Amino acid sequence: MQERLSFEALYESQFVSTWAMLKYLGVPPSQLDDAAQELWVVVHRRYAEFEGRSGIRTWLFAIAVNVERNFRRAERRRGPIVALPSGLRAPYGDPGLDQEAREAWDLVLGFVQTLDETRRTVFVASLLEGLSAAETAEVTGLDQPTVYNRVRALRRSFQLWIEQHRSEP
Amino acid sequence: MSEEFPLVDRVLQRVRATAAPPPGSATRVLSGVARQVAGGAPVHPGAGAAPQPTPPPAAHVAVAPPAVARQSTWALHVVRLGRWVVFGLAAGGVGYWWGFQRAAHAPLEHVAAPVEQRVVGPSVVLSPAQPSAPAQPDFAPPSAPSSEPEPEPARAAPVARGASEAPARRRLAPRRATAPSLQPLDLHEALQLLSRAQSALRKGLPDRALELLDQLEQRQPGELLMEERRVTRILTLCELGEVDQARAVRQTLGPGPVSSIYAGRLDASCAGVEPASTDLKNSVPRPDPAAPDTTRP
Repeated sequence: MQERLSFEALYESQFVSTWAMLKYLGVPPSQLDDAAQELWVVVHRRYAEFEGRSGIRTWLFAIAVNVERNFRRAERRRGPIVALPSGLRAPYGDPGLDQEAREAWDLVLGFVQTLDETRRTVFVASLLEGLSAAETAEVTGLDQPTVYNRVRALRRSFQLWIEQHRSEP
Repeated sequence: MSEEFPLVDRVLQRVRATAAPPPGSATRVLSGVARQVAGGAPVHPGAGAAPQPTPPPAAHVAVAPPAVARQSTWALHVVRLGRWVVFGLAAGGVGYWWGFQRAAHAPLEHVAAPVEQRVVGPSVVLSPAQPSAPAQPDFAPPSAPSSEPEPEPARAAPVARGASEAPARRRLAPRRATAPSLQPLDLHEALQLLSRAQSALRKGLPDRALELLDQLEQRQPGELLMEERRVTRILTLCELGEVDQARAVRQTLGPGPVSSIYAGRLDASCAGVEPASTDLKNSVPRPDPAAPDTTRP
């Protein structure tokens, strides 16, 4: 059992990670501050109940998934989104990033948007966050063999997606 | 890492390496969290429903996100945050010692109304350029203040109704006589204490709220959550009918606008309107619809 961190220490050590989780899950850049705030309010409220039976990153990731889901629902309630033509669409990534990084973000987040919630969670948890199959199974409620299968299928699909959407040959 | 899909791995690695938040976001989000927790604003209902899985986690099969690219940005956040916290604690320690000395040597009447003195006394303007704050120990472990007892209903209930007219000062005095803990609260603990004070206020227990706010002042006299603390104190004092004190505290918030989440509540409070007459001071408890007859003899 790891030593229990104070809230501040947890925040300091995990803020960047939770930010990335939300970003991977597809929270728009303009809402990342709000989503991160929401996530850490929940952490603050629930941290006392956290017993350390799962890894802290798994726990935080599960909260991030819920926060992202709520943001997505709120977005849906606000009305349908009319997609811009791809030429007009702003890149997902930070404008300060280099071309390769921006394209990588566009590819990942464009792909993530095509997935249903469970697959999106598996993709982010396993391929981006580096959670184990067991941890991904905990977060998604799937069994481990299904997680393995999904991860394999997602890799294949993402490979195709990249081939179809990357700008360079 | 999969050798089957090198392109996939390259893209994912590039994304992981550039996922750091922009500078300042850690501080911005933390202050938003503090405001939201202290203000009691609702969070999304399902957001807290994160499962806590039962089986122990297995070893990771994938590569953890590289931290190197994040560290430079994050280090800046930590340094800024740390500087802010250390300075707050240092200033708080001085303020605490000053307040404690005054409280220990002051007559009870004086001690009973320490609000203005404390909030206008060792007030500190935060500045990242403040030099050489004395080194402070790290934050207290979370277990230490969790021994703080929860409000006892049996003790709190009798003062719940009709308390606005009861002499709050009488109840304040013994609290001051007890020796405060010397260990300053960290942010989490301060937030918890503030939340409890606000909860007590919402439940119609302004005495209890004031007691908790006093504890907070004693144990964390720095600038941490200062606006939230003062707003809560103002609302509490209004509930207790201490209009003058509430207005005095309101003045310490400065001439500028208060955060929007508090502006409405402050404007609606006894400290938000100009007195119609100076005769009103200290004697206008808010009507309590639940017990209208007990507030007036």
